[in-house]
Amino acid sequence: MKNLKFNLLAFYVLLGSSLASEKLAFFESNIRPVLIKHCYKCHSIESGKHKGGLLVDSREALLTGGDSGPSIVPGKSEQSLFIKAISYKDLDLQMPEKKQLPEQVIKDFEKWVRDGAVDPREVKGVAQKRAKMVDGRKNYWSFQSIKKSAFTQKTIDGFLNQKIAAVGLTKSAKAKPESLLRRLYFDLTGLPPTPEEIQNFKSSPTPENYERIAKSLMDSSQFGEKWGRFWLDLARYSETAGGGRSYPIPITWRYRSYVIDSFNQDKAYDQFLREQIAGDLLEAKNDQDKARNLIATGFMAMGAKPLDLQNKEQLDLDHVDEQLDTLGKSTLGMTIGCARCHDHEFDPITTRDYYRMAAIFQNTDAMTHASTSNITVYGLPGATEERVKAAVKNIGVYRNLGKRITKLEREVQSGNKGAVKEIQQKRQEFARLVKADSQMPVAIALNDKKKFSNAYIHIRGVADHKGDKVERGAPKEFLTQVSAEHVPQDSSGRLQLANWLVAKENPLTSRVYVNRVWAQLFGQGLVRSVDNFGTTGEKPSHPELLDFLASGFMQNSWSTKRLIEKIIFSEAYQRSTKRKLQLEGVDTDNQLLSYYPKRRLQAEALRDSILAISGQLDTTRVDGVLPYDVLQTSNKRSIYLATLREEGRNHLLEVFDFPDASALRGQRTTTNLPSQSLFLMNSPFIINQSALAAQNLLIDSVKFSKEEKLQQAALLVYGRKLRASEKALFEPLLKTPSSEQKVWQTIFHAMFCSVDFRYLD
Amino acid sequence: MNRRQALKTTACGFGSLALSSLMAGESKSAGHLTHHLAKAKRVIFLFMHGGPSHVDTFDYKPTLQKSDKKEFNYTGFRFENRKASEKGKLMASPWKFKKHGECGKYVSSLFPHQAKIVDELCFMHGMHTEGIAHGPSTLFMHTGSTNQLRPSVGSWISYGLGTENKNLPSFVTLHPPLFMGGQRNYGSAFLPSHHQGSAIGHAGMPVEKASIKFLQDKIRDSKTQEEHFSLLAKLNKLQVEKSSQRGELETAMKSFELAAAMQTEAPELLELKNEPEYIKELYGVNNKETQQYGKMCLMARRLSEAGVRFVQVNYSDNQNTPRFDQHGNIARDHPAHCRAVDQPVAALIQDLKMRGMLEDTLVVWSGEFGRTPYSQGTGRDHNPFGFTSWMAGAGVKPGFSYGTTDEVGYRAADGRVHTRDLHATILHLLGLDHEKLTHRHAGRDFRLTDTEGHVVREILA
Repeated sequence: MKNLKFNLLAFYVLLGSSLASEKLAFFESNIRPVLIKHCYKCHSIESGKHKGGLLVDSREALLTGGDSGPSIVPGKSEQSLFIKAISYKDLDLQMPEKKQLPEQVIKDFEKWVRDGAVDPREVKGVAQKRAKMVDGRKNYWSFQSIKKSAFTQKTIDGFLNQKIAAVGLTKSAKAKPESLLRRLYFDLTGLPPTPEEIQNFKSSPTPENYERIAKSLMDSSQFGEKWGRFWLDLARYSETAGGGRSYPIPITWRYRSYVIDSFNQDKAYDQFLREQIAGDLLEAKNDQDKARNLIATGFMAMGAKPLDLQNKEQLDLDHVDEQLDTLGKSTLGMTIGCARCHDHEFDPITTRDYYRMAAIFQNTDAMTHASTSNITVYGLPGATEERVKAAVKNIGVYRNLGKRITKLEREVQSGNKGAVKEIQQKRQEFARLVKADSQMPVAIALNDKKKFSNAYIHIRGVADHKGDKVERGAPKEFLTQVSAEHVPQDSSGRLQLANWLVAKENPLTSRVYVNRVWAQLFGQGLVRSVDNFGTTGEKPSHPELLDFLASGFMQNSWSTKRLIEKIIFSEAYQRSTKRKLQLEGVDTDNQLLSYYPKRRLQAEALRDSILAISGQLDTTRVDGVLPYDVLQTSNKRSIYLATLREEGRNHLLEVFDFPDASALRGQRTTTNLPSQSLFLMNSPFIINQSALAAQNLLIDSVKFSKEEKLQQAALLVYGRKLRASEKALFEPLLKTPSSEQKVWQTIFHAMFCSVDFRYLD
Repeated sequence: MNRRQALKTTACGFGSLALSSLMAGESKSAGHLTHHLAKAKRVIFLFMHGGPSHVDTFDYKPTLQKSDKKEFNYTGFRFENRKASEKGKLMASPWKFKKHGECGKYVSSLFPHQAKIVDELCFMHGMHTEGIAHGPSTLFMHTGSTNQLRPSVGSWISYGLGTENKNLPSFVTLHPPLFMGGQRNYGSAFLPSHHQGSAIGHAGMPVEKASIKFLQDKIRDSKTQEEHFSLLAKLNKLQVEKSSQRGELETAMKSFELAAAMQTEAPELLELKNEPEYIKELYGVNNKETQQYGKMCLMARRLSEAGVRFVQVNYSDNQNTPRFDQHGNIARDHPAHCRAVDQPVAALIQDLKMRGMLEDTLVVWSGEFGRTPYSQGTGRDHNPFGFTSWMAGAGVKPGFSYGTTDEVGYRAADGRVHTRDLHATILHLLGLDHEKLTHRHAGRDFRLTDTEGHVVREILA
């Protein structure tokens, strides 16, 4: 600033002299026209653009500069970024982008800067504009501390009913027992109830029975397989590396098992996060604990990586950004990635805070670089060095073997039958390695780097543009009610960051999580933008209820199961999908939950239940990798199928909106596309499963009459008996002379294609 | 299917109803009106995977031809030598260049067929892009990002303009590579998923075997299929009527009708055998070397004609060194790849012209990058700093060359066109402003061109 004042002063003093008017004339004739013609389009208030944060339409703007710092240093053309840019000397900074200015013009600019950059254009308040980014947004609801007591209501229903009554709506009745039971089974285990279970509950649908069934479902190992998948969406879980030169990393299943176990054990959410961010830095009782903690950090190591990006500093920065993006959205509901290039435009996250956190992960190991880099693999505690080495070598073999098999498969499809034998051979080798690997004591995980390095702000997020140095640690300017622990010299700071996240003062972590659980059970969150609690996200429909749940959740030792119980025991969860009363324009999207929203089954539930109905489902757990060639044919639960970032995923999961594992997904989309209908009508999977379901029915219900068989089929597929109108539709079929097997196959196939199978009532 | 039929199904086919309701819930920000008058209604993108060598094909460099084996200094860009000063030896093109067409365009002997149609083409010699390796650069060419999950160009166009034929997807990709970004190259990322490209086949699969997934049931006889469809249609109707929350369920039901419409319309469309013999001959369908890409180009024309907005025609495979990627033995291997695409590409332009479709169809030809003027022994390295792409058809100057590389063809010099500029220009020709075509996601507006990109006005007709 001193500099600026001095120069302005000098300018005004000189203005009167002939020297000054000469310089002014030079500006007017040689500089201003060029700026207007070549620069204003992208860098002026008039054009509304300030690319790179830079304006060039006033002297002050040029002196202040853009993201890369001051643009002009009067008197020193060689230190002026502006001159550097127009002279095309730096490969990364060349302006105007399209074409270099003529040599004479560049010389004119050099002279103008050397002569003090005389410029009469008026100031338009650039600096002030840039400074006011962060303040003013701190009052937004989600950044305020959580209310802990003196709630106006004592139950979930208390909060909901209050609002329903206030707008004059009527609550729907309780759902029919069979609808409720199907809802509960799918929500807690991702599987349908059996016809016997339906009949039993129908005969005595008491609250005690409901509660007993719910508790036993939560205690079953299927609970973790259903709810673990919810977390795996957030963890962008995959078994391949992603990026251009992707390859199989068939050891990530350890993380999948860890997540399933954590949900089954009802691990406290704060501990769950601590383990996933800094497990390797936590105290452990024994090697088993140590191993588990290390595997947990796979969460942060799981992201897709463009391993063949040649600028490795950029690759590291991009990778760290991916980690922060995932961490921010999944736990805080914050798009902190925006602050990588500039202070967040909408939320109070500064670039400085971003790089404080980035520094933590820059000091955490992730890859060993080569032309195509490798993801770092860690030996589990207790493993001998020899075995770890062997495992690391195996990963390399997988990488090549996997590639070889895919290539051979293409060749076979292209008509080269000769490759069939080699495929078999390679597959056997692959299977053998997979089997061996399930014993291999390695995981993709995090570890602090051996040597800690300084971290810098990177202007516009570009590796080669370094700005100020920053200290690593949790944010300091964001969520000031949470204090950031000091990061010791000899630590990356991940533990301190984890502690900051799960501190009880942190208003976002618990709110975001309880909202996610709510969204799993009601189809939409109290805050509908589940990954965005920032100012561009949506506001909560029931702010006090959200805080009631969040504070109760923390009081209940961050227990997911207690939270789910609280919700599924509510009246609201048990309501019918039939609306009692519709008021024009009132709560059209059912945010007040006066009735239960119909929801489509998720892809996994669709597939698993089809297999369950056909009697094919194999519910045994998989601790290891299922080979890719059984992706379309395996009878295991969907969570165990290989999750690839490339083409070749399970067809059903793919067409029914299974998320792309390259990025986190807090809420699945529900599309209705012709590709889904084509799949349901024509795919060998559905046709074969319909045949198997028919076979199954004919064996299991051999003593049943045709009518009883029909109802049995309906119980299996819909969890309810057929209505008279539906029965009338099927009856003519039962009378046809076709083979029984064929008739029942057609019936099951039609049922699988019908909406009541796909939607939870 | 001819155009009249296409129009008929567009106007009143029952599928149209289904799709419009499928899209009802979609963001209105883009709308289906253009921002300005459109020159092009659809795009065919001919993707030349691996990086065809511009200095051996379209970018004639007399200085390079005279400087064979001459020492050349450049900045290293590979992981091992990034930023280090490197020395290489220039390699003159082994192929002869001659002037062609009324515009007098120099084209090498590698592309004799395209040489005959240079008066239709608009060359951009000052192309430059992001990434050094195939993966990142391929993703950048298709999605405008080397690493993040972003919608593909075709998805943006589908999102901006909607579909011309409601019985068909608006974005189709023919034989895309499984690697180098794979599905992300035609994915819709955060845009609604019906904007993703529908893949027909994949790289390495013979064109004859490719189709839309599950378009037909190969297990059951047609009578059983009909019975089944009529049963499920009635069953769905009953269940939807009985439901209190109908909206989404109705859409689910209608998507079966649309699927059935596709099932009858698409197979005929994908069938090439009814094309007249002279057309097949034109595309080189009967010639072993050109038949694969020839069939794909012909299919692209048929899809465009039927109203598909964006067709990617991939000349690709699943190798680590895809197609045009000749780090070694360029003199031996480049010609085969050039022959495989040359006649089909030229045929497509001629065919579109004959049908009057070139007036409102934009054809884009590009690799993910070009190749260096210096050699790696007997081949050339990747070159993202300077290469050539061309466009033809709706709204671009025919028989025109814009921009240059430096005197040996290493860096884009004059009239530089970044891939983002190419994207901005494609959108512009379709009547879309690349700065206004946005989608709100994760709290902010996203664009195909991120915060960059300029329309290359110099090449607009």
